[in-house]
This record gives sequence, C-alpha cells and structure tokens, in this order.
Amino acid sequence: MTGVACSLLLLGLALTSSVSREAVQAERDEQAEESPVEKYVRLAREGKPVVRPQAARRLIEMKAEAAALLVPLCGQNGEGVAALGKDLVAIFGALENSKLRAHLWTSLADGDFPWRPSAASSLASTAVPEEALRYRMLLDDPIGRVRTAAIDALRNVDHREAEPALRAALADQDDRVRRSAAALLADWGDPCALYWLIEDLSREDRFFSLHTGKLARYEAAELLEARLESTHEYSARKAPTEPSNIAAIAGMREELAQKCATVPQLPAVARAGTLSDGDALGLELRSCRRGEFFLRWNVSDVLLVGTGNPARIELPKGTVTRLLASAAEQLSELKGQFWGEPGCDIEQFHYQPDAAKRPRAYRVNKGQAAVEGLRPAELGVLAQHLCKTLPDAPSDDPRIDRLASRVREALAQLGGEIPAAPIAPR
Amino acid sequence: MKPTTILLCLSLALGISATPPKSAPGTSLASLQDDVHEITLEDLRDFKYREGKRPPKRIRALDGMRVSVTGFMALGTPEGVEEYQLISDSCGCDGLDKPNHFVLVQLTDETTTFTPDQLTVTGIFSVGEELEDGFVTSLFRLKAESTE
Repeated sequence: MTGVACSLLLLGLALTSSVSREAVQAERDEQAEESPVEKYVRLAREGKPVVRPQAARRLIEMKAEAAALLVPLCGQNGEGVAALGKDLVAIFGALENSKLRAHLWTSLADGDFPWRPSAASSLASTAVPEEALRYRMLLDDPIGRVRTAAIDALRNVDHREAEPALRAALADQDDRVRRSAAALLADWGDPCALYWLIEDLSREDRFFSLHTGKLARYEAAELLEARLESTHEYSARKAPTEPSNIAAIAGMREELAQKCATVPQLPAVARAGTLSDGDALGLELRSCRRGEFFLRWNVSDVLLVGTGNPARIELPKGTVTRLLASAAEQLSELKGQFWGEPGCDIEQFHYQPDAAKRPRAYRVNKGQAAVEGLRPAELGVLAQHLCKTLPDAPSDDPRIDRLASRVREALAQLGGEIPAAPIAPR
Repeated sequence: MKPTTILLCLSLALGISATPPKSAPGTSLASLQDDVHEITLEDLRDFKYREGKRPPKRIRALDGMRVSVTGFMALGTPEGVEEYQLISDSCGCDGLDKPNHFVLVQLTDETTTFTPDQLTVTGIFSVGEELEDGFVTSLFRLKAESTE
C-alpha cells in the first residue's frame, strides 16, 4: 500500500472516528440517565460474560422494581424471554413474581428455548411444594442439567415420595445426575448411595480434550467431603492411581462399610471409566430438545457411546479406517472450524488421526433461531458416514437404544437434516 | 480491518519503517524456561469463590509466576480483540458464572481469532480481583507469551 493511499485511509478513519465519538457520547448520556435497575438489566443482557450474572444477582435485591421492568420485556406470551439471556432467566424465580415464574415453566416446556437449564435452576432454587410433581417430571428431560436441577428442586421441597425416581436416576446416562441423586439419597438416609460417589473418585476417562473423569473426581470429592467424616486427604488434582489416592479411597470405603452393610452393585454406566487410547473420530451433540450424545470411533473398530464407562459396540473390521479416509477428504476441504453463533445447541466433530497430536474440533453452534444450511456440506457428508455405522435396534441400554435414529433427529435439530443419499460438498 | 493493519498504515504514512506483526497462533514468542508451572482450570476453580475473599494460598503463590494452562477459548469471543477468557469446558455449556471459572488471557502482539480447539497458553500469571464499574471482571489473568 502506498503512503498516499494510507493517508487517505487515515483521513477516512479520522472522520469515522469523529462520528463514532459522537455515538459513544450519546450512548454514555443515555446510560447516565438510566436507573440502577435499568443499568443492571442492561449489563445482565449485554455486559461482559463475567459481569452478566453479577448484574443479574443485584436485581434480586430490587425484587418488585426489577420484576416491573422485566415482565413487559417478556411479552404477553413469553416471546421476549429468550432474548433476555440466560442470566436474567436464572433470577426470574428469585424475583417472586407469578408472571415471571409462569414464563419459566412455559420456557421449559418449549424444546427450542435456548436457556432451559437456567430456567430449571431458577425454579429449583426457589422450589415450592405445590410444584413437586412437575419437578419429578423434569427427571425425564433430555438435558442432563435440567434433570440435575429437578433433583435440586426435590431436595429443596423435601419431596421424599420421589425416592424411587431418584434410585432410577442412579443409572442415568449423565454422571452429574447420578451424583446429585446419590447425594440426595444419602442425605435422605441411605448411606449406600455414597458408593456411587466413591466410584467416581477413580475415574480417568476423557472425551478427546474434555477431561470428563477429572471433572467427575472434583465433583464427587466435594460431595463426599460434606458427607463423610474424612476423605483421607484424597486429591482430585492427582491421578486416582497415585498411592495416596488409592489409600484415601480405601479409607473412605472402610468408613462407608460401617454404615452400609451390603455394598451395592453399581450399574455398568456408573462404573469408573479408564483412558481409552486410539479414539480417532468423535461426534459430540448437545441439543436442547434431543439431548446429549458423546460418540467415539476407535481405531480398533469399536464405537464408544457415552462418557465415563461408555457402551462399547464392535464395528466391522476396517470401518474406522474408511471413516478416517472420509474425514480426511471432507475436512481438508473445509475453510474454518466454527459456524453459527453462541447458544445451547452444539454439534462438534472431533478428529484425531494421530494419537500423538492434539485433536482438532469442528463446531456448529445453533443460536436462538434455526438457520438453513448452517452445517457445511462437508460436515454433512461426514455426519452421514458416521451415522451409517450406528446401531438402530431397540436396546435395554438407553445409551444405544435406537441410537442411529436418535442421533439423526438430534443432528436435524442442530445443523439441519442429514440426507439419506450422498450429498455433494459445496 | 485488523488493528495490526491499521498500525502498519499509520507507520507508513508517518514515514516510520514498520516491521510486520511477528506473532501468529502457534508461534512461541519466548523460549520457555524450566520454571514453568503447569496448572489446570479445574484446580483454579476448586474453592468456594466469594467476592472480596482471597483465593487459597496455593493459588496466590502462583502470582507473578510463569505458568502454562490448557483450556478453550470461550464461545462468543469477538474477533480481533486483545483478550479472551480461557475456560475448561469446550462447549461453554456451564457458562462463566464465577470469576474463578476462567483465566483472562491477555495477548500482547496479536489479536483473537476464534478456535474451538484446545489451547495451551504460557505466560505470566496474576491473581487478584480486577473491578470495573463495581463488578469483578477477572480474578486470574495470564499475559500470554506463547500459545500452542
């Protein structure tokens, strides 16, 4: 670029800068006139991500005033709730306003509502006994964090009739739900449920870059610390195979054995997972409506379904080699690794052909509105090839029951339908 | 237009010789020393955060040290800015509810380009609440020297 061109550019920049200075000043004047409640609502919607929940929490102290501002913003039928963002939705319950509480239930009933976990948490933290049956129904929600919130709500209203449902939740696919259920059952007088938490202390599993086992160890250790006399200096930071952690886990089991005569038989899904070498391809789906899927294709021609101790399905010999070839072809054509906008609907493809190198991630994110053609065609082809290897038979194991159909439905909700016939990359 | 491009144009117009931006993702900006402390985001969030309360001693002891931390760029990070939040969860599903749930990575010679890949950032770590308009905007910061 020549010096003249740059000078012209600078002149343009100076003019633009003058206009933008006026705009900034106008915005500042507007903000100077706003009341504290207006300011906190604005910051809870548009502030820095870390500021939003803080600003929202300050509104709780201004209950009636905050509700008076938020109710009209929600719209007559709740059409404006999603646009308020998850941090404001999360405090609706605490504002003790019947209209806002009604919006929380309406939003939860809408599978496309993007902040369903926040709505469920808001209801749970302000749970009332009259809603106990509705919380129980949320235990069947497709999203793990909504089910966890349902358990929190049952705890807060001490709804002990839900005990059978909580026992069923000990075999939930989502480890956070299992841990919440175990902690509540223990608090309601069944120390044997703590064995579910002790089991998680031995987890080492990962889902590509996600340290699922380590996260489970931290959460389980925190829950046990509040429920056992001692955690014997167990450290979630260290590997469970460290001698100090082995001794700590043994100490906790010993203490628990005195309170729980018969050691329960944990379901396979709740047993500690180990590291899985050779996971080469992965599909991670988190859909507001269709639930969550964690699928891995291992170079030993095994499909792993779920995190922790996943279900294992043998694939015909050579399947993963073929999938890797397809992935290499499709991904090499891709420009970029991210499509869409922030929201709670995510599909992520993980690619790690070389175990010595880090996996690469390709992510499609759906925001509040469906977007046609959101998923690049290349990823559509890859998804189609991956889906063809999934079993679709009914199964007693909820992780693999009609798996292919459920994954296809989730993909359709996220980046769009996966065509049955081959599609040409654009 | 990227800030680096604007700076280059300013330098040309003023007759100053400019060097191209030297950093690029994946390039080491400083040779790593032996005293790099490897920390994890899980370790940093493993305490009950309360505004105004100091983090545990084991974390405060890292203040001013060269550390490396692995995580993911928070979803929604704008392009071309000089800082981003490094979080432990690739999907960002759990949000950034508390200031001890992320490390604010401060870039020096480069600006952000969003990636969903895992990143390991090495640099000088600082601990302590930073406030803006009465709100805590960060508790942990990392002046990035290299990103892998």
